[in-house]
Amino acid sequence: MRPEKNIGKSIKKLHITPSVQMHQRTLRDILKAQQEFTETKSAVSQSNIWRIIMKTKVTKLLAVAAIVGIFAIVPVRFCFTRQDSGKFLSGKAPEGLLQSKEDMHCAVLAINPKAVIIRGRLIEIIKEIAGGVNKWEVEVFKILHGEVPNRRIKVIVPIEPEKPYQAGAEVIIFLSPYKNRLYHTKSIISGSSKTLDSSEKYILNVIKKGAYRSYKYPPPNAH
Amino acid sequence: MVEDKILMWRFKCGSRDALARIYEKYEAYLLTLAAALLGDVNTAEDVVHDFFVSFAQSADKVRLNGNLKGYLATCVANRARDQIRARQQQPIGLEQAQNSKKPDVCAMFGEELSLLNLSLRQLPYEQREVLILHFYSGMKFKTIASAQDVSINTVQSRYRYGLDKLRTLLKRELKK
Repeated sequence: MRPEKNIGKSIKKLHITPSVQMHQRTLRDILKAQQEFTETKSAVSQSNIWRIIMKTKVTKLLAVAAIVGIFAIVPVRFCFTRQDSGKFLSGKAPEGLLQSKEDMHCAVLAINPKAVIIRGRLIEIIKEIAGGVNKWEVEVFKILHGEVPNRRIKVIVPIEPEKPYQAGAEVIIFLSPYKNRLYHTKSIISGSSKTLDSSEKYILNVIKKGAYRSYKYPPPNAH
Repeated sequence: MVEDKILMWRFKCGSRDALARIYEKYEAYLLTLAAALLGDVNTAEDVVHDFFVSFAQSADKVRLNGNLKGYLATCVANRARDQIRARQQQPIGLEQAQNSKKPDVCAMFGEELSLLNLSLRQLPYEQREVLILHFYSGMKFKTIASAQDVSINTVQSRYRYGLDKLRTLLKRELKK
């Protein structure tokens, strides 16, 4: 190969093997210089490795992705939590609902666990503990997140006397963990009324009429 | 690359083994580079020696942005440039001038490359440095420009003129 034809390759072939004397002398001198340096100055702190790590492009990208993910997930989760804070269940009414003279009724529903629609974080399944149709008490026996005190909760279902629920009818029960009143669920229901279906809206309209306001469980004529 | 980063980290933490490994890994490469730039093995050895001693004393100052090999090559090239400038400022004697083109000095890279080495030594230093850093060290023009503190156009001009002149010199040497 003639050098002028391919200068680049020729220059790449340049190589010098260091002499043993030079190698040993330089190695000895640099190790000595390093020892003197480390004796006079403190070693670089371990925290510098994080500076090295954080300066890489991959780490910067991951950090940005993590920040963006946090800012994207937190508001979404916050919104869903607010929207799902309404606590109500739905299920089939096996025996219909007992009507009373009042326009507010208590109901016991044999809730099929698979049919239960959980929109709140509080109650997963309710079960019937009362044998008679006149006692309308249900117990929360599984509580998610432990935010509701593990106690008996009375379920109050507002219905109109002219439209009693029939067996097999779809019933939606709004549960209030506070003082057995529907009053506390009103704002929650109103806040999530955009997502309500027709049956939910029906009950919501009943509630909005204000019939429940003075109502407390048990109803006067239930026993 | 990864090995170099680990070596540098250990070196900055004060590891003697890491420093020795860096030296042994790049000793021949840097010596060749310095010799090609300076045209003198003895001076090249001194340059490499001085650089590594300085390198060992500046563990906390080293800020490695690119690869270690390029960093070391740039440092040695800078030192070689300083050496050339210092040599140019010193008065040169007649005997020294006559010995500057001795065959044994020119043949330090072997018989095959002696012509190339002779021709390289006749180039202006700036052009020679660009050619060697580009071809031997594999540096890009942008990196060379940054190391020499000149514009990239200047580096490209030096490369082009240097290459043309080197071709001419090689042809002339071959005709002899």
